Amino acid sequence: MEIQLPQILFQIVNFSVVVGALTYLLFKPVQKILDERSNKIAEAQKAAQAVIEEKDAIETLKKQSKRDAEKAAAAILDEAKKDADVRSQELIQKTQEHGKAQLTKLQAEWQNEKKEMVKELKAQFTDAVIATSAKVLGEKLDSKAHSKLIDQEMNTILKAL
Amino acid sequence: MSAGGLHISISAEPVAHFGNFTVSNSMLTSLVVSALLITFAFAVRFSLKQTNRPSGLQNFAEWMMEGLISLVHGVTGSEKRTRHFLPFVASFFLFIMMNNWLGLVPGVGTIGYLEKPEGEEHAQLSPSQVTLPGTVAQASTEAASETTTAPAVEVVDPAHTPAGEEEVVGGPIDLQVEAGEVHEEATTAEAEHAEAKFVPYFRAGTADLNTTIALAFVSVFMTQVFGVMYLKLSYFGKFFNFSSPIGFFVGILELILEFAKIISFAFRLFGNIFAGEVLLAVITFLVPLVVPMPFYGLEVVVGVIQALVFSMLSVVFFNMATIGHDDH
Repeated sequence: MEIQLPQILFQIVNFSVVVGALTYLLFKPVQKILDERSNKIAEAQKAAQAVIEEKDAIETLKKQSKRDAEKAAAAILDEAKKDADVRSQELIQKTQEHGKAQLTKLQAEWQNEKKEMVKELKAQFTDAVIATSAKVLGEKLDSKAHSKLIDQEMNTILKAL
Repeated sequence: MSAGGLHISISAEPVAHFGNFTVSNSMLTSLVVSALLITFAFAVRFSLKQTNRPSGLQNFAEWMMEGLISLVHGVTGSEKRTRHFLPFVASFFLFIMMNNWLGLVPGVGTIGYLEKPEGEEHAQLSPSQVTLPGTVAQASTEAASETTTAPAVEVVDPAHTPAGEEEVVGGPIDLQVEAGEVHEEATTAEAEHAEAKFVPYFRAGTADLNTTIALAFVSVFMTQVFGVMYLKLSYFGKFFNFSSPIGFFVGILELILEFAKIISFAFRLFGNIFAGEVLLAVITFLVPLVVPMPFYGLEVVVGVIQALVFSMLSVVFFNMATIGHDDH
């Protein structure tokens, strides 16, 4: 086993050259690229964080706006309900009044019509009875007296009705 | 494999000489690793684009860098310290891992040339055939003919050895050989030297102690640099503490520790990688087919783990050096 100083010195110089070359050609450039990429990633992460924060702010604003809108909608709905109630009450009242008026009118019309019909029926019945009686009896009855008699009978029937 | 069989050498073999400067096969591998890493860095540099979806080479480079950054940041916990330490820690990791892995590539350690031994450059021990560099043993022998027949392993003859020189130390390994064994050993050595010695062109860089010492030295040196960079001159206070006798001795221990770090770093890495290479060589020598495959897989993992251990220890030491003594 020989320890030779020139060989040791040669190996020291050789290794120093390797260190220098690798540092200049490999370590520093690769480390620079790695650093730049790390910085880029850090910046991108920062930007992404900012976007996330902005998104959160927008989300909060959106929720707030939704709450406000819901409140406003509830208020409008309440007011509309109140209006509708008032209007429906008015309409019901009007309808009831209108119905009553119509009913009264119809009742009056019906009474008039009834009277007319009774009158007409009475006249027709009287005529028919007189004509029948005249044929049966063979004589001409006094229509006035006869009518009076029939009226009495008719009133009795109508009352019974 | 040497001409005779298994080839294991503790030290890196010289493959070229420029004057007094010897180029070893581990140095060649380190140069190849450096070239590969720099080529990769160039390829990444010119394929870089500012995009959110990287692909191909850029994707791989970014994945690798992010892993290394998180590894360093996990220890330092500081952006500034991570930026300062990263180039060295990442370079340690890539350089060591590539060196470890390159040692496993087929051809590395097995393709080489046959060299006729010159004089006493190497001795190969039988039967293990471990090659030991330098003069393995040295002793005084009476007959000159004996030394010429056994040039690599010389012997001690107690009958002819002067008093006090019975055991002779030469080189990193001591050998004591009885006179009766001289002839046999010498004949073996002569026969082996008659054969040409196999020298691989490449050897894993981290399987050479010189490489690991160099890396360990850079790590410890940079620890001091970062210490001074962050704590200024007060950093040296932990070594030269005159506030109390105990503090003074602790300072000396701290100083010794810095040198121990070099030894610890260097031998840990060298030991693990060299042991792996020996393991693979032995297994391949014993059972050449199929059986070595799981061991190769194991060595791939060991290569990463050792690179990680060296890098992590370095970053821990860097970080400790930048924290004031009172902050501990």
